[in-house]
Amino acid sequence: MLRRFISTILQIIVPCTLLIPSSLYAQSLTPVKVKQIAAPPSDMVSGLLALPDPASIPVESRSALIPVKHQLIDGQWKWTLPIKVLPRGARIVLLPTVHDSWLTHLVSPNQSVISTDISKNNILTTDPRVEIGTDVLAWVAPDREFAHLSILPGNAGSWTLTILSDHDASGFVLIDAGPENSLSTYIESLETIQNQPITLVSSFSDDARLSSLVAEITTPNGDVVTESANTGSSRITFFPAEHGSYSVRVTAIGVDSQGNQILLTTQHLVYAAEPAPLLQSPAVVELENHVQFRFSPSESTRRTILAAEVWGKSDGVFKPVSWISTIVGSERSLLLDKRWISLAGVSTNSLELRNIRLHDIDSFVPIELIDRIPTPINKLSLPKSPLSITQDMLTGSVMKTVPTPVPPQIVQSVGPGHRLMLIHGYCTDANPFPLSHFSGDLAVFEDFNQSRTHDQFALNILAQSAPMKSFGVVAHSQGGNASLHLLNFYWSGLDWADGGNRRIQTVGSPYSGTALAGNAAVLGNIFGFGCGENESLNYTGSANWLSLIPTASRQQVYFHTTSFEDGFGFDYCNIITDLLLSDPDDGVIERSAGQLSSANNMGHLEDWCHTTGMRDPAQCTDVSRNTIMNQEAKR
Amino acid sequence: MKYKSVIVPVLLLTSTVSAVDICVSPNDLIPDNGSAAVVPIFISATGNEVIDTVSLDLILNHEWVGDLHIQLRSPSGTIITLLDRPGLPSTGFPGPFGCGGHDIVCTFTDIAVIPAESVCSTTDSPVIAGLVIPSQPMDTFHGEVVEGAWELIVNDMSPYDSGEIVQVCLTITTDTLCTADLNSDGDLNFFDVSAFLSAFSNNDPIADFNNDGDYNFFDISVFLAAFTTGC
Repeated sequence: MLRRFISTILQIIVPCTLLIPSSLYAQSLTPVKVKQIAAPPSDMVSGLLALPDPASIPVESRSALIPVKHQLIDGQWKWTLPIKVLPRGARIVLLPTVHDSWLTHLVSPNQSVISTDISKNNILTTDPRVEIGTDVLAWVAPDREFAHLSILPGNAGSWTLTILSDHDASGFVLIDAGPENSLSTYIESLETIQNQPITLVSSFSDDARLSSLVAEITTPNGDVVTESANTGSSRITFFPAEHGSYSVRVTAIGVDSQGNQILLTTQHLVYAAEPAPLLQSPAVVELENHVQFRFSPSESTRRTILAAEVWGKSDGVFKPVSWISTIVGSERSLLLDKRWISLAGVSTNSLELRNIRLHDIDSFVPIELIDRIPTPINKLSLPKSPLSITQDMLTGSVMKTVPTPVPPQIVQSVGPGHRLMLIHGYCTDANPFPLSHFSGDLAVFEDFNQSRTHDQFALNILAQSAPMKSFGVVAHSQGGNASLHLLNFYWSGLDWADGGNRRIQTVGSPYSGTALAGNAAVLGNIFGFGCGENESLNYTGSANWLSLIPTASRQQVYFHTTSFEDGFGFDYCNIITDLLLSDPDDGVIERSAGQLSSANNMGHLEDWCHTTGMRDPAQCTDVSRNTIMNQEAKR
Repeated sequence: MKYKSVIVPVLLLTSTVSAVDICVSPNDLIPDNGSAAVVPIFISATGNEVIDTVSLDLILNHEWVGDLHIQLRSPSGTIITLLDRPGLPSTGFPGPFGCGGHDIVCTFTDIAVIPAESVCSTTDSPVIAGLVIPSQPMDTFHGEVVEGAWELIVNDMSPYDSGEIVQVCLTITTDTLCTADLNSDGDLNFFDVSAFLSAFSNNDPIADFNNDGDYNFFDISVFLAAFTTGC
């Protein structure tokens, strides 16, 4: 018994000790097996694989993130913000750059002063109109406590917030006050590309009037520029001269239908992708079992994702044949299994590609979009129409490889068995799943305190799983997105997982992204990031990514979401992120953004939050769910 | 062990071709990452029957066919590889475990069009099914004697997955040599007798009909017996 216990512990510990820090990742390229993905016409007709309407994926906000800009007055650095509080009350979060640099006075309409001095832990008040506390800023700065003040409902009037310091101490105040309008801002085009203007479009809800719109933009090299909308306009445009991540804070001022002033902000992470050589019209080549569409090659080894719809005519009417996609390197081609043509029953001389897309592999920004290219083939030998769609029609029967920078293979870290891999999420310092809730052969994924795009994350899973014959996944947060990305685009032991019912099981995974990605980008500029920005996790990047994931891959995912206990009072998982997310949420992921259409929704539970340190227990510590996931897992 | 034998005669000018079809159902476990599982198949035949074609039907349960290295040994000692860890060597990262599909229900034959090692699927079970081309051609056995102990040798080359050999059927078509047709014209007649006598008088080895190295009455007797039996 003891020997078995030690063996199990070693199986878990040994791989951990052999992990290699990310800084040592080899830059050499490894031929990695990629799938030749195809989806049936039903996925094309349903719109699952269409790029979203940008207006349908806005960042919505009911709060304002306002920079604190001290002025030296009478020898003291001072910043004052008048706050008109309506009967619903207000919430204020103090976000100083340096932990103990602010002394705060909140002055009520009757001029009584409520002070906080975080440095002295003096955050208590006896004023019944105000509640004061501290909390971490989940996901963004989880290791620091920030003070928050709530002016309770029924205390309307003109309040004043004053922040004092003995030096010019910068930071932000996050405030939810005023009318219950929201600000909605979206990026006008999904094609956010270097040297092409990017426009953000903002509006208030409930017919509130916009009077001023300003964007503060931090460029990838740290420069800050300000752009304003023309009077009466809801659009702000900036020009990304560099490729990379731009953090954008949009400040909108307006008036609601009652004449109350509104001040709200939205925070965005906008990725300007590096352009790629244009695709041009493809050469169409007949192979034994496939039709190959060879686009113009790229001179670089940069990997991108290429996708297109195939259409053809039957009885004079265009019909969808298949949607095809793959990761490409310098050679950029798509393979169409001839059986799709037979199945659709279309004439080969009417074939054409539509909605041809080339995506950046990290941000998923569409770098090039082409509406349609006729690709007629006069003579083509076709197989008999298959009775049904087979697995190899969906994932490809040709084993192609693409040179890829992968982390070093973890040689002999765990035996070549069949395992259940527990995968953590974005910027985590530990495995969130209690090992005692799981049994059998396990592997614990480790890439702690890192920010990875979905693709980088998936390649890391691939590298750490390489010694295993097969594995199933139980993943938290972004680990779920990365696992789905791995299954969809690459061949791995995940394809061979067997013996159970569920290949990928996830908890709290942001399939549609999180508003915190944009906020993290803005706030990260002042707090500094241990983990960094993550363009895979904003709403736009997620929507672009999902447009590349067919039903067949999604059906392998069994997802769970949670949120705070929804009682009668003011409920939240993290009081600060609650101001940045739409309820219900788990403190990091909104319930709505945790859904994955066409996958298996295993339900939503209240009373569980995203991580430890939140008001309800961490969602990965739910023993009943973990027990079921352990039992149901393929390995 | 159960033997089944079916002989179907086919007339040729210089020889007869028969089919020998023998099945064994050993239900032998294949040692995981260990020693080989060997299935003997004994075939009895007339001494002058030689191999024309060979095919092998195999029913084998295994959780990971990429572990398997399968060979066939003839009574003459010739060994060919039927399957060599499908999916290996790996064409790219990751590896190196090969095809992870389950089970084999197939016929290894040179007349198939799909190589056994090219068949792999994450969903089909059995993963190797139908007519498949072996790694090395069955034609390697052509012309060897049929009779004797054949062996199917199955090795599991990687740990964690195991299996068993359920049934093996060996189908061999044979040529029966017509030894008395010495001038190989397809007929037995005076010219064959003349050819024998000429060879006999010249101590030509083809006249040594009993293979004893001597040229005497016993060779004449065996020749006459073969001549009388016909082809």
